[in-house]
Amino acid sequence: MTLAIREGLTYSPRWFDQQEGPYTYLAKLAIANRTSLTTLLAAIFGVRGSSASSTLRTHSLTCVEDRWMKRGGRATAGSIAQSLSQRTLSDVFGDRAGEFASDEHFRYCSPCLDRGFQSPLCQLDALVRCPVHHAPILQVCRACQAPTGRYAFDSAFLQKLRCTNCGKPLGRAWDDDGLMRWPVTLDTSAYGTLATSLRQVKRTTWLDSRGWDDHFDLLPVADKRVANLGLALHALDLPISQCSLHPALAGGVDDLVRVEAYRSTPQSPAGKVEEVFRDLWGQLIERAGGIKRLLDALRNETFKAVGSRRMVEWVGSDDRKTLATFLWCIRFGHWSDFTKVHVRKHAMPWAKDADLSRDDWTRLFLLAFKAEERFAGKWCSMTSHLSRQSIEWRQLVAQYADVLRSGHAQSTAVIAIATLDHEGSENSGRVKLAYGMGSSYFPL
Amino acid sequence: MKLDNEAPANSNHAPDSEFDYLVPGPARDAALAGHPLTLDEQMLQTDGIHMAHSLVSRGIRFRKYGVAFVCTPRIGKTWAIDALIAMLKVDNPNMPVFSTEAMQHDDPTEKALWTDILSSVGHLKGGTAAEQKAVLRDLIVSSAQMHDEKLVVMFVDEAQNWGSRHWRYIKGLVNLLRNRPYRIRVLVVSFGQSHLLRVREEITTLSDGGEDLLARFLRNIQEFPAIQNADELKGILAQMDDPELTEYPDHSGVCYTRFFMPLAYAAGWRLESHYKDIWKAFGAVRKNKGQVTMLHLMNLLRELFFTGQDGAEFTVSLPMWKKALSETYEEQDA
Repeated sequence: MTLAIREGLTYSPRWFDQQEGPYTYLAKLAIANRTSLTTLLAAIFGVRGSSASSTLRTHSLTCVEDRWMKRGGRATAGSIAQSLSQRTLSDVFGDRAGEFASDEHFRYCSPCLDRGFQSPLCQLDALVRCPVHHAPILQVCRACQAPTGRYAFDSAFLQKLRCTNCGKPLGRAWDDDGLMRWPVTLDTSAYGTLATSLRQVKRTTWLDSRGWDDHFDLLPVADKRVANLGLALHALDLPISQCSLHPALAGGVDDLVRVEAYRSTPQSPAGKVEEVFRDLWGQLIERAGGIKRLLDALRNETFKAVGSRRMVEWVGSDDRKTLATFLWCIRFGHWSDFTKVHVRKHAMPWAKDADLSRDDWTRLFLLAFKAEERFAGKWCSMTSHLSRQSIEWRQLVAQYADVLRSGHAQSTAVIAIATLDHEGSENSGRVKLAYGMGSSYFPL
Repeated sequence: MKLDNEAPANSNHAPDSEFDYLVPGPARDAALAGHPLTLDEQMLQTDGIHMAHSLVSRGIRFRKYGVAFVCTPRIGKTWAIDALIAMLKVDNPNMPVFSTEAMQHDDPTEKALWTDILSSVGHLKGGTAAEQKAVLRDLIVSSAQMHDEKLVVMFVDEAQNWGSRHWRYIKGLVNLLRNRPYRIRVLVVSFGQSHLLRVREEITTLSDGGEDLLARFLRNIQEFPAIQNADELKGILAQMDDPELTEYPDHSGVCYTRFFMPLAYAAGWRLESHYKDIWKAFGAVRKNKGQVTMLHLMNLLRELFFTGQDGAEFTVSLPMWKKALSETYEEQDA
């Protein structure tokens, strides 16, 4: 027999693109076999009919994760089941798919869906344009702008490929003779490249929570997912073309504040952050200064730069990434911990007429960075050739940055993170993330 | 006893030491269990098969809707269909070909027809008649699409079980597929017993559309012949002796005769040389207006191969053929 049949179902490998997601994959099988999702899942996974039926009646099984594949069936058996398991977002993001992708609406690129194709990566909130067609990713009906249904398996599974408002198919491949349009002739390699890069997320130990970041907490959930992808892009240094991504992720340093939520709340601390981000190095300092909690905790206190039992220690290092990591950590990673650190005044660590060593520069910079501008200014003025009138502390910082950039930083004493262990420990993923983040935010 | 079953000098077979399935033992038992003769899946060419192949190929070439054959019972329709499918696969490896068996039902509904066809190709589909018809349509479309083909061949075994209603349903499906947007032609190759001729008569008498049905599927019903003469028999037996035509296991260079009678084969014994005796043995059958069918012949050869004592001096006399035939012929027609 040379019929298009597999595991008792009408099945043609030409219907499916390698990058196609499970939703349209199963939809095609359900349509060609005139079968319900329950029966289809039973045929593919061996889920008992009544069990599957009851599950679908009472629950909507999100398609973002792959738990729906493991409901009492033989998830590893059969070539269709195996093919499906490689098409889920879980295959790309592991257990963290929900932190990047949404199942609130079926999201699609119109030209792709006209050919019967939807990539699961369309469910990423951060993906705003199709990397193949550069068409916008939609989550509404093209004809009437009504929102699409959930990206989930339920009793209304197939109906979601038609608009629930106007009844029109979301793409030409889903009308009555759609089967003729299913053989995918698109070059979807752009989705493949994107998926390959994003698979690094699955292989990376990830920060457990971003609860420490009140800016993040202020975001709507959709923006959080965008921000999460932003973190991933920076942390993992993913070679991803920015042209299809959310504008918030297209920039460099000030990516997250471009998320709409930030712009829409100018009075919030996040709005304050946006405001101060306009000038790179000035912003850098002011960004730290703009964080109310940090300011309040540390203002009028002397920064205990040396010997913090929790956070930092001075080490000899010439690693710019380490410095960047530190900066990121005190800004984003653990800054709330500073409120618990006993701070005390301490004397200017160098003589008035001394030429500042790079260690001194580092301390000065940190002082400034941590909003201790009063002390920074004081120390500057106390240092004879750093009169405050001639050199603003911002310039000091800029100069410091220039020193680091100039390539003379090999002997500079910079900062490592005491609480983050070295490569190979259980926290190495956090270290890597911090490294990546630091480099992106503070391109020293 | 040491086997001395060397291949003929002009063959390029591997040394016999590699052929452990020719020596009694587990390897041979396993090979024997899967042998085409054991499973009745041998693919041998007959004049009838060649004639049918020629007609089906012509049907494909001229984009006909139907080719029909009528055969006497036990002539080996199913075997013939399998052989034709194998030949069509060689002609055009990509062309979707499938076979179904026309079933008899007390209540021959449209739903039962589509269920039978879908079941015969291994599809799980239940549902209404309309749904099943749509599934079959999509299955045919998808199969054609999968291979960039515009023609699908459907073999129907026991076609005499379909009445005019069934042929109307089939016509509906075929027409549906012929039209836009599918543009796919289905060639229905029917194999039936003589009752198929009566079905044709019945269709002829239909007042509406009978002529159309007849013209499409059953106008020229060809008789599928049994083995006609001793020369044809000789040709069939010669295939059993030829590893190019009947090789088992794959890539072994071992023909059916050598597999079953390795010592005799090595000593030069060939089945082909017995064609006259076998034809004579079938004489009594022919006198009773019976036919020498592939079914009868294969049963006779199975009797020989499974019970014969292999040896360098092995041979079969005419009385032995007659005895074997009487046992197998009675058995299969009992």
